[in-house]
Amino acid sequence: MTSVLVIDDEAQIRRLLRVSLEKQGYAVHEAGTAADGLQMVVGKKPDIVLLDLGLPDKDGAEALSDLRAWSSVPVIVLSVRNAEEEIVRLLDVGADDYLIKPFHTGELVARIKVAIRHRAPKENQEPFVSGRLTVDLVSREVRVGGEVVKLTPTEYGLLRMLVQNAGRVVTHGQILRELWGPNVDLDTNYLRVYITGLRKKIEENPHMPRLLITEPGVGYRLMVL
Amino acid sequence: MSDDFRPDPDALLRAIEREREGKGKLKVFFGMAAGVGKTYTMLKEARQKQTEGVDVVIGYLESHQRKDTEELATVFETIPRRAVEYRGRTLEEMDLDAVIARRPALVLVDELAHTNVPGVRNEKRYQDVLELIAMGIDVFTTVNVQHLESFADTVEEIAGIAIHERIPDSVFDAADQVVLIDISPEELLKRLAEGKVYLGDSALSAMENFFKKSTLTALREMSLRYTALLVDHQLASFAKESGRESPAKSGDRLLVAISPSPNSAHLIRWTRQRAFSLKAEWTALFIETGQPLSEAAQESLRKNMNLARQLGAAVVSIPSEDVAETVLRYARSNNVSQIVLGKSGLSTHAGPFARRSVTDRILAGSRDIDVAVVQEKGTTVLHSPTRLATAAKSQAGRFAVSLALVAAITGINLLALPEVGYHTVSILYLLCVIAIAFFATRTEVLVCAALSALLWDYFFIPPRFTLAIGKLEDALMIILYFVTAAALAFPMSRLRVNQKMLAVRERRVTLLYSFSQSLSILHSIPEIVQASLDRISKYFDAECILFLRDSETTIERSVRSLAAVQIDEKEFGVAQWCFANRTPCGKYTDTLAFASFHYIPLLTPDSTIGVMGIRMPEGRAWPHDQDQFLQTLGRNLSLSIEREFLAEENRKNLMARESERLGRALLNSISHELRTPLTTIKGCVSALMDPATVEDRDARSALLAETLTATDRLNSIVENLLSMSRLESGMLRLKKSSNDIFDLVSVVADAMRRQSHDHPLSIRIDEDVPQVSLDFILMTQVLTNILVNTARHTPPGTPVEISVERKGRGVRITVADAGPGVLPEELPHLFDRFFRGRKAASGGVGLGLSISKGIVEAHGGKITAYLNRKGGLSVSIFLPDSIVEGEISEESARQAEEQAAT
Repeated sequence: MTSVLVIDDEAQIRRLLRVSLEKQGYAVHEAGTAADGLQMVVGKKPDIVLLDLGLPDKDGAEALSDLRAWSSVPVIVLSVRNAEEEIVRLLDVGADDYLIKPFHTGELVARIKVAIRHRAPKENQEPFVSGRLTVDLVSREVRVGGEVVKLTPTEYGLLRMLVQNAGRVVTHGQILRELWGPNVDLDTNYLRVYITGLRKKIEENPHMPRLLITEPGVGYRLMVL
Repeated sequence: MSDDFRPDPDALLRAIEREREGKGKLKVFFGMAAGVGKTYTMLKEARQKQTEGVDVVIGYLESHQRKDTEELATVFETIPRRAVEYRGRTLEEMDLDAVIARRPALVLVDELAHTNVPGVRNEKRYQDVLELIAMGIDVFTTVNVQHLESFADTVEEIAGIAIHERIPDSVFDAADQVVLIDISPEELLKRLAEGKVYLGDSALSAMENFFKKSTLTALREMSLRYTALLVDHQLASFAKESGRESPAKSGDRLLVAISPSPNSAHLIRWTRQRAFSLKAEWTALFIETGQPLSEAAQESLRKNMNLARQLGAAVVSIPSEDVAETVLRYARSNNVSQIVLGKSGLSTHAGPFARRSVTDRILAGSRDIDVAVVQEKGTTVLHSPTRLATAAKSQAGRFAVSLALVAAITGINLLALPEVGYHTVSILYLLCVIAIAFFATRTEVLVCAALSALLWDYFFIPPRFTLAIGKLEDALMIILYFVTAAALAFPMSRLRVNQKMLAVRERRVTLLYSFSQSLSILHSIPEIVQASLDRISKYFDAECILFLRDSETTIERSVRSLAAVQIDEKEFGVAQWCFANRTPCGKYTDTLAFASFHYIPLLTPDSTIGVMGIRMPEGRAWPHDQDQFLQTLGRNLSLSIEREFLAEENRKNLMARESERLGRALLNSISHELRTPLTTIKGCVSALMDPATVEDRDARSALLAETLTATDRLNSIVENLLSMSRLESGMLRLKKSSNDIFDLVSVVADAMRRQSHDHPLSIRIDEDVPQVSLDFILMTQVLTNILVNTARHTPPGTPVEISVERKGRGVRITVADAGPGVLPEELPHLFDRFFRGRKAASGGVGLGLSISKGIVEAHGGKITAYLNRKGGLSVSIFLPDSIVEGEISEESARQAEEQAAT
C-alpha cells in the first residue's frame, strides 16, 4: 500500500487529509512539526510527503533541504496564495510539485499519483499521449491530431522537458537552465516567446490553452488529459 | 484677617503640584557670611533624606578640610569633578553632564554664586543649578547674602571689599524653600577665632574688614530681612493660588529709566529691591535718542538690560528724541506708580545746553506719579576711552565743518557788506545756521548760532570790530537773531533725529507687516521657513539658521538656512540646549557664549517649535535693541509653524478617523459576507449527516456542489481582504515582468470557467498586442474580481466579452457584459470601498472593484466603468507604457535558438 506522510501543524487539515486519502487507499502518517516529520521519514519510509509551508519550528525551504540531504522521497508543498516566490524556491531545491490551499481533494490525489509515477524507473518508451497531442521521444516525432508538427530545436527541447515532467509543474528557472545551461542568465521573456510558439503549434485554441498551462508566478505544466 | 491668610490645603497642594510638574525642587541654605554652617546643615538634611530612601549624590562640595563636614560627606556618592584647563592651570568644576546622566533624585551643589571657569557650558554655577532643576532633579545649595545682586552694592559699601561673584535675585524665585542659617555675630566671631571658619587663601586682609561685628550685624540684618520678605512673598502666592486674594500685587508698578552708563546698574538693583518689597511689577525703560553709541557703550547697555531682565524686569526700549516726555508718556499709559531716576545719569542724554535737566522735566511733568531720584554710586566711568574717541572723532569732524561754514559766510558777508548793509548779512548767517542744523547736533547748532551772532556783532554791527553795540535797536536785533536761529534750527535737528528713528521704526514695521502677511498666506513649512529666513537675514544683514523639532524632546539634526551653513557637533549641542531649556543662549549671552550663533527658542504658549540662530558678520556687534525685535519675529514664526504642525496633526487625525470608519464598515460587511457561505456550508453538511439525505443521490450531490461554491466564495473573500490590507498598508510591491496578454486572459478565463458555467465568455484580442509589462498575479486578481462581479450582478446566461487592444504604448482591457447595468448615478462610486449597487441582488463585500482599482493605479493605470449603448456595464482598464517592444526581437530569438541547438 502506498503510504503518505502529512506534515502540517493544523490537526484539522491532517484529519481531513487522513480521511480523504485513506478512502483512496493510501496509508497515512501524520506529523505536526518539521522535526517530527523528518523523524518519521526515517522511521515510516513513506512513498510521498505532503509538506506544509507554515510550520512552527522550521521554515519550509530549510526543512526540505534537510530532507533532501539524505532522502529523495517525492515532496508536494502545500501553501497559501501569494507565496509564489517561496514555492519557486522550494521547487528549485527539490520539491516535486505544489498545491495552493484550499484545494480540491481530487486534485491532490492526481498530483500525488503524478509525483509517485515520476519516481518510478522509466522503462516505458511508449509515446506520450495527451488529448490530440502525441510525442514520441524515441523518434523525436510530435503529432497533433495525427498530423506531424514541425518544431524548432528549442521548442522541441522545451516540449521534451515538459513531457518528461508531464502533469508536474516546471519552474521558469528549471526550463531556462535545462535549455540554455546553468550559466546563461536569460530573462523569462525568452521563455514566453517559445511557450507562445509552442502553443500555436500544439493547442487547438492558443488563446485558451488546455495542454500547456501557465502556473502564475511559478512556471508551466503540461496537462495529461 | 487671619482667615484670609490661611490658605486652603487643597490649593496649597495644587500650587505645589503645579510647581512640581516635571521640575526639580530647589532648596537654598542661606546665610549672612561664611562659617555660619550652611554646608554642614545641608549635609545633615541630605543625610536625613537619604535615610528616607532618597537617592542623594554630591555634585560639588567644598569641605575646606573641616573634619565634621568631610565625615558627613563620606556617606554620599560623589560625582567626580570635571578637570578644565584654563591658562595653563587645571581647575575643577562640577561635571554637570555627568550629574544629569546619573539622574539622582537629589544633588548637593555647594557655593551657588561660584563663577565657572571659561570653557564649561555655563558662565555661572547658578545656571548649572537651574538646568538641573529643569531636568527634574532636586537640588540643595548654599549661598551668602553678599552674593545677591541686589545686596552686593550695599555690602561693598559696608565691608569695603569688591563682590565679584553675584547671582541675580530671581534665582531665589526659582527656589521652593529658602532656609536661613542664622547664628549671632558673636558666635561666628568665636568660631573664627577658633579657626573653624575657612576664609580662602588670599583674601585674609580684606576679610578682616568683613568679619567685624558691625559688618556682620548689618549682613545679618540684611539676610533676616530678605528671608522675611521671601516668606511674605510665598505666603502671598499661596494666597493667590487659593483664590482668596486676587492679584497679590500691591498694584504698584515701578519704572526705572536706564542708560548705557554703568551707573544704571545700581539704579536697576535699587529698583528691584524696592519692587520686591512692594511686591510690584517693574519695567526698565531705555530711550534710544538716536545718538550713536560706541561699541563699549552698546556692550554696557546690553549688560544693563540683561541685568534688569535677570532681576525680573520687563525691559522696554523706545526710540524717541525727547527722553523726559517719552518716559512720562510711557509711565502714564502703563499705569506706572513710581519712576526711578538717577541723580545725574539721565542728564548726560539731554546735553549741557538743555534748558532743564531731564530729571527736572520729569519731576515737573510727573503730577500724580511718584518720582524717586536715587544717588548713583560707584566709579563714574561714564564714557569709556574708546567711546569718547570714536564719538569725539565724528563730532569733531562735524563741528569743524560747521565752523568752517560760519567762517566762510563771514567772508562772504564781509565782501557783500558794502552792497547790502549790516542788517541783511544776518539773513545769510541765519541760512548758514539752518544749513548746519541739517547735520549737526543741537548743541553744535546752538554754538554756531551764538558764534555767528558774535561775529555779526564784532564784524558788522557798528561800532565795528568791537563787541559793543551802539543802538538799542541793534541789541534787540542781535537777540532776535539768536532766538530766530535757535528756533529755526531746533525743530530742524529734532526733525532729523525723528526722521532717523522713524526710518528705523518704519523698517521694523514694514518687516513685521510683510513677515506676518507672508506667513499667513504660506502653507507649507519649507515655504514658511524659507520666506522668514530670507526676510530676517536681510533685515539684520546676518546669517540666519533654523532647527525644527522632530519630536517633543529633540530637534532635527538638519539645519534650514539660506546659505550652506556648516554646523558642527558643538554648535548643534548649543542649539539643543536652547531647545531643551527654552532660553536664549550662545553668542551675546552668558550661557554657552563660545558658540558662533546667537540662539533663541521658538516658543508658543504650549511648546517649543524649534530654535533660530543668528550670526552677525565678522566684526559687527549685535545691536542692543534688537533682542526684543528678534523675539517678536521668532514668536510670529513659531506661531505660523505651529499652525502647520497642527494642520498636519489634524490631517493625520482625519485619516485615522476615516480608517476607523472604514474598519467599522468592513467589520459590518464582512461578518455578513462570511456568515452567508458559512451558513450554507453548515446547513449542507448537517443535512448530509442526515441518513435520509445520504440515501438520495441527487440531493447529496446538489448539497455538495453548494458547499463547494460556498468555500470558493469564502476563499475569494479572504484573498481580497489580504490584498486590501496590503494595498492599505503600502506593502503592495509590484513584481512587474513582461507577459503575454493571451496568457493572462486565458488563466483568468480558465479559472472563471471552472467556477461557473452560466456566463458564456468570449475573448477578443487584437493581433498587434505584443508583450505587456505588468504584475501577472495581481493583474489576474484584477480581472478575476471584475469577472466575479459581472457574474454576480448579471442573470445567468448573460454573455461576457473580454477584449484587449493596443493604445499607443499602452494596452486597454475591457470586460463588457450585456446585463442590466447599474444606475447612472452609481457609476462614479463603483470603485469605492464597500459600495454595493442598489440593483445588486446578493451581497459581496464591496471590495473586489476597489482592490482592482488600487492594483491598476499601482501600475500607473486607470480603471473606468461605463454603460454600454445596448445596455450592460463595461469596465475598462488602461495600462500606460506597458507594451514591451523590441526587447525580444526576431534576431535575438534566433540567436537564442542557435545557442540551444549547439
